[in-house]
Amino acid sequence: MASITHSQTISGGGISIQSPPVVRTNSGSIGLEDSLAIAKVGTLTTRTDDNTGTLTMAASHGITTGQIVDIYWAGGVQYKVTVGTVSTNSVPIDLGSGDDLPAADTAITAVVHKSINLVIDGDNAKLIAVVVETTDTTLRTAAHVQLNDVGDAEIAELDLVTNVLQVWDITGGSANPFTGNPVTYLLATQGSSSTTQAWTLKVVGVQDASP
Amino acid sequence: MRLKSDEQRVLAGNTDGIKPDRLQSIRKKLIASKLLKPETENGTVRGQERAKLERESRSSYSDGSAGKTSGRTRKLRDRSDVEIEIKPDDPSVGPASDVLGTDQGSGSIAD
Repeated sequence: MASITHSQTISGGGISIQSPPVVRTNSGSIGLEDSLAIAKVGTLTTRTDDNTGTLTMAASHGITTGQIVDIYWAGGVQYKVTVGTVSTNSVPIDLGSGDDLPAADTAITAVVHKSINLVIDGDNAKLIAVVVETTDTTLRTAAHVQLNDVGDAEIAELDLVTNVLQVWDITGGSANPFTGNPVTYLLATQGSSSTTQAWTLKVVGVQDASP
Repeated sequence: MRLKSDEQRVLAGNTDGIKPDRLQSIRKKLIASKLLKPETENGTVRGQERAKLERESRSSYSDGSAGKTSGRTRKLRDRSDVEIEIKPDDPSVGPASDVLGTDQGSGSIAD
């Protein structure tokens, strides 16, 4: 049997709450630890509509025609964006989901998403925890994870802030955003262009593997 | 909780240009967040089918009654009829011991 232990400590105003550990046990474990890529800097130089435009990236961006990227800017993220025909540093984009693209000439970062295999049957999940950790744990930058089924349909998507743990204790009553078809893979990115950090996505959970 | 632009549009009832799987995901998230009521499904084919089934179900009662409460009342009445038929003293249903599911001579109930 797989077992997850979750505890919280909250203090403020002279009052401290130390909750007893919550233990969720079932037949199937969920576990993942994988690195994420560094985002590349650029500018949204042309904004055609809410999810169409052209990025002008800094040199050596590495983005190629037909790839799928996530685009970050201050206050927003558009994900699963299809790259058109790249010409040197000019990167046309289209068909993303999420936030509408910002105004033209807004500074952005773009990063090719990482596809990571992970099976989660949300209907039978008991507890799931997700975090993106960095070398400097004081950082609070944006990250994004899309959870998809075998047919590439989105089951859920998560806005994450680095080093801030998100927990869904479904057995304990948390709303379950992972219901529907089983998730078979993730598309994950983080939006910082810092070259001094390592970015690690971690997923921990427990589910009923034989419902 | 911050809502993305496309989520805000769905909340406002505008689903133009949103991919079907994304739309489903957004609806699920909004419902889980209690920002959208599940009843809004009635605008979808699935909701229409469910409404049709409910209408057909209501119209099937011969007394012309409408609504689930009437249907439940009828079911309870039917169940009451069945209970009358299996009274232990009714010769058509065999000895009381069979009805109770006990063997002869187990006696403690009779005591």
